[in-house]
Amino acid sequence: MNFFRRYRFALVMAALLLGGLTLFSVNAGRDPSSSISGRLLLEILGPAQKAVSGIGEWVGGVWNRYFALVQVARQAEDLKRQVAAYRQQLTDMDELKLANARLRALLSLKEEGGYPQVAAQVVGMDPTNYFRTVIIDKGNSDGVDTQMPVANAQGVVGRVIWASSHYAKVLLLVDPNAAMDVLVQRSRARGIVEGAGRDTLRLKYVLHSEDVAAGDRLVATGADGVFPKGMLVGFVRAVKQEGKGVFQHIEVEPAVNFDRLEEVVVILHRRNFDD
Amino acid sequence: MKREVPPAPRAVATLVMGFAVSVLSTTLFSWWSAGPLRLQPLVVMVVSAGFRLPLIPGGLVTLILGYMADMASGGTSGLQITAYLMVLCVCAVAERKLEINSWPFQMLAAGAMSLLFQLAVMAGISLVGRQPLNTTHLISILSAQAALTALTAPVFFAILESTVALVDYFWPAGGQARK
Repeated sequence: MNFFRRYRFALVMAALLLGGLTLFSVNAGRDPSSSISGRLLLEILGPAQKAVSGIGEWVGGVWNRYFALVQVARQAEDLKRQVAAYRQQLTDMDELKLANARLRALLSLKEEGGYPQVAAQVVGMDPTNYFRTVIIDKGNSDGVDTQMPVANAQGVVGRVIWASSHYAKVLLLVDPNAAMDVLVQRSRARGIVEGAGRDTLRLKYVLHSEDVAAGDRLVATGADGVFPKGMLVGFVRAVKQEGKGVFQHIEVEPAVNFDRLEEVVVILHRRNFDD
Repeated sequence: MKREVPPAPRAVATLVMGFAVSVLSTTLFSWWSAGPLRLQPLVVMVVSAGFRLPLIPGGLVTLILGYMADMASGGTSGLQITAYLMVLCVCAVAERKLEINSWPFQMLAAGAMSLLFQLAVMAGISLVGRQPLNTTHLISILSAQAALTALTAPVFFAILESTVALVDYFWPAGGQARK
């Protein structure tokens, strides 16, 4: 009894550290699952984050509407020109889509995609500089579940790794723990893209014999069962033919600007990994 | 003479502030981040808990704050809990010899503990086979992050102490003490 009294301080410290280490070692290497306490905490944190994000947007809105009108007018002119160009592109794309549909019908190809989607707003970003995740304001009650792909108008954003009733956590493609199967659109060379830093991706497992050049577009193959085929992932920034290894060193610039994520779309399609 | 605030209102105030800074860290502070550097107010909360709370309530507060940080972040659950508990234990040991009432010491403690926290998190990331984000210029990033935490620490300490005073004012025992 005297022992415990004498070494109480050291024993409590040891117990605390061991408790933390046990929790860490139990969860290490496991797929993040939505524990009840975690879901509850996300439900408490989420509304507060949404409120702060809302205030931030309101302040930003006031600034944009009342103090930056001159700049807005200039931007409006630029946007008008861009809209005209996009309209033309849209017409061209409609033509291509129709031609594609005809050819698909001819080849009896199964139409892919067309999954329902849900728009979500980013309400919180990762507070550390070690991980790249965001919290969105849609969860299980909106049909969002783990492993579902997340995208925006620019391309692939990431995938859902955690979901509570009204909020979900998204692992961004630039996180070192994220990876996906991709295709070089021009040469059809395949590889795996993974997060490589703050705003950079790395294309791995592409043989030296494959044709990859700076500026090439990378799209999802759909083979990983998470991201729909053809979704834009990024652009090849640099190809380094260094070393005697089998594979090329390829740096990729993501299509999405991860520092300016506001609205995203969750594609309500979840691969059944038991298949 | 200034009355010492009892552990219960201090622990509650630290939790309230911890929740507030967790929300702000994922919103406002993320928008205002300077490159890879982020404000680390939770480190200040844990340093304060280590120096000014007994070990058991301090440990419980740190467990909750660490879990909250793990949930708001993308790391393995338990990683930041362990890192914050290490910070708490070092502070609890240091508290036997030192006090953090002055600004320079608050800054020194927060800077050093920020460094310890970052090293613990990076060691944890390496243990689970993941690569930390910023491997280039690692030492300069760690030092700059610690310096940023140290420079901003007095502000967060002051806000925390104001919250502690506020909670203590409305705390039943605090009311009796005032009479």
